[in-house]
Amino acid sequence: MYLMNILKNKRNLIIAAIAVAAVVLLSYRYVPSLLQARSDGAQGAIGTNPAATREVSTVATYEAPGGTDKVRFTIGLDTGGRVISVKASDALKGDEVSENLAKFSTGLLLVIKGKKLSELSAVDRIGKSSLTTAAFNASLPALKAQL
Amino acid sequence: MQRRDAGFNFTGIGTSWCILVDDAELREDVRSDILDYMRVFNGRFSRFLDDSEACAFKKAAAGEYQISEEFAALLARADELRNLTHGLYDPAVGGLLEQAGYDSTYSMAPRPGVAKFILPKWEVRGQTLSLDGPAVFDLGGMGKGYCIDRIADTLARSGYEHYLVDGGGDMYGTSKQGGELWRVALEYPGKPDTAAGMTLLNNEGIAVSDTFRRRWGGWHHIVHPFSRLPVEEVLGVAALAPTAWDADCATSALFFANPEEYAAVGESFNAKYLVFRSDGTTAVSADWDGELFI
Repeated sequence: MYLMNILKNKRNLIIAAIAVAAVVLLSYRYVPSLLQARSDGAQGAIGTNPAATREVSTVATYEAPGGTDKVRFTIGLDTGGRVISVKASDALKGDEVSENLAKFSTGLLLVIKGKKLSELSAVDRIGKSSLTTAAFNASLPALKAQL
Repeated sequence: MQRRDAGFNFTGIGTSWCILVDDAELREDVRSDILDYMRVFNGRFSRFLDDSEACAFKKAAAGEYQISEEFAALLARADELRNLTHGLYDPAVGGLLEQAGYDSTYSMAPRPGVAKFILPKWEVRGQTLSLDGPAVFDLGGMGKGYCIDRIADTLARSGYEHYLVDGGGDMYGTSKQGGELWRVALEYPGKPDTAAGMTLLNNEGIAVSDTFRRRWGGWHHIVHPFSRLPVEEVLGVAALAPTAWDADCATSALFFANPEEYAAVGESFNAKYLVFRSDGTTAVSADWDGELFI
């Protein structure tokens, strides 16, 4: 299992993270059409999470000194588009999940497109960075005038 | 859109607050208890007030000092964060923020002291604080999370069950009447009109922080204590945890953590998290269960 060595080497980890980001970006761009082609409620290719109504999975290939590793990344989504599972498995060993792969999946990177707040309904509040900006900016001239 | 008209709105510790109660009107006596607590908290812990506990050691000589139980609890938690981030998170960076111009007069002009700033060394044991010299403490988001939880306590003590306390975008919510949950949209860092996702609060706290607000010159409010420069790798962080304090601690630590440490930070505070990185990707905790707009 070469992924262990990859994880130990920070530079390789960064490359791996970029590879994952690229893979996820590709799946974001190309997978929706595949998903639409499947009927609603269909399980994904490997059906890892029974609660997921859609699964997006892609395989990343890592060249290692002693051969090639193929890691499958699977994202499970429920009907509301919620991400309910994220998993990395070894595509060469029947999608086995080693301890290192389990750790690796916790570091999965997604590309989030976002949605206009005006398009959302029934929102009670918006979680955001502190609203001090208004007070902070408004106070500048007033405070400077007192100097 | 969010219900701006409803709820009890007020300002405190430099931000806008809103309390929503789903099953009843918020009584006058409870409203004044909350405002009193905010005033006292601000007076005791604001970095901008010279007579606050946070500024009490601005000109202190090296030595040991007795501090209040509450300040000791806040500093003990800050010490935990400092250890988790290998010293990168440190509330004693307050002195550096001042030198960089984020001071009580909002001068916003970095001073020559920036280059010379040396992080004061401090330790807290029980209610004894030991210092190696002058120190200014900036409790930042962590102090706010703590404050949100205390206000939630006040509501619970006053007999309310279904409420949400929003302290400028960080919050704690129980649930609505009939078990329905509070729906909270998560702002995309740096894009005030865009949501990255949507989450439901179920007796949970949420904290969101980014580096876009409170910017001046090349600076913002999250600074690296050793390089003396603002943190630029991470655009923003969101965390859900059992309390608002836990959620705020998680976001503070995630700002300074290496990607391989995110999961450990999440575990320390029982937090689910999103870390928005400057390369356009977002690290998502494996147990994240909110809706994400991918």
